Amino acid sequence: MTTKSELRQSLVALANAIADLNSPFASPATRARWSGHALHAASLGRSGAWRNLPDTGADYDGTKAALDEARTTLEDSASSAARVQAVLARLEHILD
Amino acid sequence: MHLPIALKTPATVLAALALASCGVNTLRLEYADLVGQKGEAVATSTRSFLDVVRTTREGANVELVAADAACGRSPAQLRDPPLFGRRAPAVGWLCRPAPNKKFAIDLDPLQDDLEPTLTAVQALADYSDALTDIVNSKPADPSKAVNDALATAEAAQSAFVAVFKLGKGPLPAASDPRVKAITDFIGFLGELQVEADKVKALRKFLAEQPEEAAPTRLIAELRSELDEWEASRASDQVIMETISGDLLNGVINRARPGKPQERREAMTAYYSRHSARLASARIYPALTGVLDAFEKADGNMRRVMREHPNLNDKERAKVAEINRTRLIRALDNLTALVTAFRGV
Repeated sequence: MTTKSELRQSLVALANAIADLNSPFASPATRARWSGHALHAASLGRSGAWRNLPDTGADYDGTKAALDEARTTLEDSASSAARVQAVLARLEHILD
Repeated sequence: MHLPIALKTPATVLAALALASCGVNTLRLEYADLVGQKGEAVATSTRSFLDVVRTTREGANVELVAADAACGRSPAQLRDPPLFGRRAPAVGWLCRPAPNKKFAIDLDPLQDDLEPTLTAVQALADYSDALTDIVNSKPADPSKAVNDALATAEAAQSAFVAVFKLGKGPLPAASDPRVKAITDFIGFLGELQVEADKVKALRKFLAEQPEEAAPTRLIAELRSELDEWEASRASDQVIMETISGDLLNGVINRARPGKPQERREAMTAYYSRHSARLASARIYPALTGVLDAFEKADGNMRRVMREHPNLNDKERAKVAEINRTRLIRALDNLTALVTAFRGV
């Protein structure tokens, strides 16, 4: 069972992984895409919505696995960008 | 030989004292002192970390509002992706109006939100301070009473003479070897008694702690809250670096790049944010190490505080060494007493 703390840590790890690969010297289009994901993840990471979330729940497990997978397979490609976006949208839905 | 009546069988008395006040008490006090020190380190480090959390949030908010005025128009949320390609500082490139406050950017200071964590830290600090106070309390020096008695009135003289059967006549001087021997002896007994009293006070203090104030519970609560604040801090660092990188990208990639000074400032700001993100990521692991050390020290103290503690090999060796030293000291005291009173 994944706790919300673990889930949140995975999210922040994803945000940091994106920040690591998000070069400011990339093309504006590439930079904008990954900045969007980094800011989205970081915005969710600092959100006060976590306080109201139950500490555990089976629903989180899939999201955590997806977050971890997204973090470990991050590449500067359209396919992984879409995957990250999907994972973040899923997490936002859980927090909503 | 006219030894005081209480010292007629001094060897028995001293041997019994040496055994009864075994070195475990010394170990107990050392461990309690260590818990006090570690607890203070936890409190100091945690408060510093929470300061970092608070200032990082403020820094991220400053960056957001400075980078795009739309981020300050509450409720606002970050764009995904930001609108690049416009000439900065175009309003709305980074933020857009949020449909509700759920995921809107919160620009309020964190101080109020940090209060519950600071309260937990204070509880832990109070616990550690109490242990330190007990260990370092200064009881009246038992040997001082003897010296004071020598310098005071007739009543003291009578009592002194009666107690120690020194016979009639003037009181012995403080430099008299008999007085010194008795003073040292009383001091030795006093030290053992003080040690035992402190252990008793520690046990009483620990027994009186309410369940909810138990350090294990406080530490678990603190760890959980600090995990949350670490997530907040790391997120804010990502926001600061990302915005800085975005601004740099805008300065160097637009059709008419910024002026040299503008480019210099943007590059410098980005490197600074990048370094800060990497450096600040090392704070929390260090803090959890301090928490681990405190938890371990507290567990060890509670283990040895029991009546018949289960000591490990290292502790047993230490206690044996303390007892050996103590027994030698007891015998030295005995020799000094016998020598001083021989022929009186």
